[in-house]
Amino acid sequence: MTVPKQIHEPLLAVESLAVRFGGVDGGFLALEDVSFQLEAGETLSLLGESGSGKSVTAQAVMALLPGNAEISGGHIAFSGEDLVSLPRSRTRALCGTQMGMIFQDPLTALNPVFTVGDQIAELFQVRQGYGRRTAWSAAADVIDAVGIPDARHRLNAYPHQFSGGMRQRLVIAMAIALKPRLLIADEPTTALDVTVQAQIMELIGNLQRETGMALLLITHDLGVVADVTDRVAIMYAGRIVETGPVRVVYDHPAHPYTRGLMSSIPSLDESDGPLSTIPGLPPNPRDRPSGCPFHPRCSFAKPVCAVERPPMRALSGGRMAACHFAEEVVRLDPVS
Amino acid sequence: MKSATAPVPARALSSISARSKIDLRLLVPGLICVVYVVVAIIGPFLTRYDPVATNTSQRLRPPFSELRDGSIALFGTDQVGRDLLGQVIAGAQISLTVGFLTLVIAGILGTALGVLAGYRGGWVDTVLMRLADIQLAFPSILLAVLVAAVVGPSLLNIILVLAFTRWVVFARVARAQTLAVKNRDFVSASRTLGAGDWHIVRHCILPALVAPVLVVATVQFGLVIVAEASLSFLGLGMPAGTPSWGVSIASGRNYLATAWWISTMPGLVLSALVIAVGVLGDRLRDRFDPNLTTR
Repeated sequence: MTVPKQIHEPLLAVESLAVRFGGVDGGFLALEDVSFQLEAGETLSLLGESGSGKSVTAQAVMALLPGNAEISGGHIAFSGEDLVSLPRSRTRALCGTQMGMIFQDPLTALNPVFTVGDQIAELFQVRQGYGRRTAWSAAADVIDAVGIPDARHRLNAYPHQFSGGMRQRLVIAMAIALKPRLLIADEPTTALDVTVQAQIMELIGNLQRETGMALLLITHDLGVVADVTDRVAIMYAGRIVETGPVRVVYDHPAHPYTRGLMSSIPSLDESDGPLSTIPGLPPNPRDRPSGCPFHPRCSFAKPVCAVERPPMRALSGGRMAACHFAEEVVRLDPVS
Repeated sequence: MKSATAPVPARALSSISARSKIDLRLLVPGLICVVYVVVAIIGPFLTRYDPVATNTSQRLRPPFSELRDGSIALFGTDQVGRDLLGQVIAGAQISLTVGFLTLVIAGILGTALGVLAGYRGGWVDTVLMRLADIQLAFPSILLAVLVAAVVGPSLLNIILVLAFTRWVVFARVARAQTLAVKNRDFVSASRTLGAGDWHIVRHCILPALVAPVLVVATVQFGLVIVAEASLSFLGLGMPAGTPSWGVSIASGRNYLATAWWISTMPGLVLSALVIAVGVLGDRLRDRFDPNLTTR
């Protein structure tokens, strides 16, 4: 090979990923041409409404896709290794030690028939070959690190004996127990109270700072994102439509969909009047519109939008957007 | 009992409330089953029953009649003078052995295949479950008669034959429960922590199967014992010399008009056990089912 190997390699590089869900009617593409990169220690948020493909992206990275789904194109490179073509045994070895995942609903993410100590200590015993005693003390350290008081004593409790917020802390404890370099959090606060949400996000932020792991945060909560994330990627109808540093994207969206999302955040200043919404519904994945998938709902749409799909284009401020008229959208007044 | 005038001591009150917590529908059939098991285990040491010994001078004695040696035949004697109580006790051992071993074999086989079908899905699931459907469409006793007629009567054969007809029930329950559990988040969570299939089956799926499979086993236990008796009655189960309840019932059918007790006594004993196990199974299901549907 004459081409020198790239010196810099992102921790996670997803490249034109496509995921197809099978079905009797031929199935549909849940993801199309999704590309993003995540550096070590960085936080990237995937934002989008339900069904936009956020969770499928996470499942594809963690090799958790349901049985009727398959990766039909693209690559997922984790520190240089292509996860798509890796044998399952190797992916499994990476899971836990290199990549961890936090689930949406802490009520169902813990095995109800074993004590939390059993579940966490088992990780150390199976994956790191610890003896029983060392594994249990390591488990106590981990759940102490996620802020569960009286850790050593609580190891003997079953998951149902914890509150929702505490359970999410346990789920986080399991995900970070083996010190992964990448943590994927799939809507980690959706099932929790608002006050607990803040605590959990703070915990994740602190853990990330301490361990230097990268965080892929999947959420539809625009507020959660702003404080913790470095960059955002907005997803719509199975594609990324805009990506860039969080402040740039929030203040001057380059895609009309992003702009719609931002203006739908209720503001405390204007208490009167209806909430701002995006008209229409996300398209049925079996029957997506031609051209730009957002054009039927877009107030900026021109005839070309129905014909030609806009590619992702680099814009100023280190961001990219997939809109024919991105420059005009950016120039609009900032969203309130 | 709770008369308003008489002051009830605190201790009596607490013992009443404690007693009301005892579940009679669980306790009574449970005790009956325990008695059967104890009798089956120690009975043969208490009454020495010889299936080939005959005593024609004391044949066809009704229940509670005094025998020549001064002992009382509680269940009466049969057409060749054998004590029916001894026969029934000896039969208990056979019936319980058949019931227990059949369920162990059918339970392990059915659960394994059900988990395999539910977990793997795809063509494995299709093949296994269509096989199960075909077998269910066929009356199980007819199938048992067919196989038993081919392989011939013996204790081992009847256990295998009955297990062969019962695995389907376990397989279906195990498959349904596997399907319900395998897509739960904690299974995905285990996967993201690097757990393999075998680990997930052992730690996530099998523990969730214990309660429903045990409930099915109690319900099936009664059916298996009846099936064994039916096969023996038809002459396809236990060999004629063995004191199985089915054999005893069959041997008395020519005397129903004159000596009703020969068939009736083992029949009553059999019915009592089947009812007790059935009630126990129902009760266990009531207890455990809510835990299955909720988390």
